[in-house]
Amino acid sequence: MEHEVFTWASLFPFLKKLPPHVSNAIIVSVILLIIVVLGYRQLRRTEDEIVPEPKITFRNFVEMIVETLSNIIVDTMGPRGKEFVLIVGTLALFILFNNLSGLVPGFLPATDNVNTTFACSLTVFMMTHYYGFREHGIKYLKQFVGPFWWLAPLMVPIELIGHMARPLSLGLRLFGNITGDHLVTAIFFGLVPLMVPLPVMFLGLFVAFVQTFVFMLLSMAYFSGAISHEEH
Amino acid sequence: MVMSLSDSKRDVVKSLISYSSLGLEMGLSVAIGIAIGYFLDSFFKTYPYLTIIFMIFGIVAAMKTIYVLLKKIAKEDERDNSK
Repeated sequence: MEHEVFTWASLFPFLKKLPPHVSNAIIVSVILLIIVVLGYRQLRRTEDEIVPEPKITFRNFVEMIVETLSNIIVDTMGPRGKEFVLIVGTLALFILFNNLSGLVPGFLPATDNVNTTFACSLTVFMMTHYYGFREHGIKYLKQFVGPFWWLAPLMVPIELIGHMARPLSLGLRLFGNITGDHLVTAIFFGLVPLMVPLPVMFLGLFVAFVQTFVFMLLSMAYFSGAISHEEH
Repeated sequence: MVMSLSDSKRDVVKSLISYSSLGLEMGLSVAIGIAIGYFLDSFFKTYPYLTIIFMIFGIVAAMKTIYVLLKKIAKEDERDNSK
């Protein structure tokens, strides 16, 4: 006799019929939205206060997240990194919270489905070329032609394959790591539910952060490659 | 001192991540090349020529990934030495 697996999504009538990765992504997005709205409202209320509050408050927490993210991005991409804080930060927060939701009982992390990870990586892929065209105009296509014009029939397929491998590897890596981690935790829970899954769950915490960082770093590398002005 | 240590550590982590991404990207380049070639072959009914050609393209794309990364490393080394 199998009883139905409990998920938080089954509590909501609208989300019950959706596949688990979609409903969990929606729940995580709503949680993120609530955090952002609360933080923003506190920010508005205390806009005149320059002196930071002595205790750690919710506002400090949100400020800390944003500051850490933008510091990482500006450190990696240089002074132009400020333009990319929005997209890279959004993706990073979404992926991080989805990864971490896998550690909460009743949540299936949305990132352990290929559809979610490829949605993220294809966003990066599209935005890379959008930023490239915005920066260079039509000359952006020169990056694909290579150093000499007579090499173009050889270089264009090579570059295309190289560019297509990027979103595929981004999405596949995230999916593989999170699925593997989630499966290992589930199997250990099935074998010995007491104490034994703890180190694996700790590893899961580590994997969640590292994979988010990897995704951020690689998408930043792709963005800065698209807007760089040097010859290949 | 503490600051510089954490900075160098972060650099190590960053380079580790960018090198570890190389393997997956190389393998997938070859796979995508073969997939494109196979698809074109079944479209034009010229199996196996386009598959082989696009596999070679994929392998060259994988090598180019290494080449670009090597150039980036060389440039970073130069910048670090000139500091």
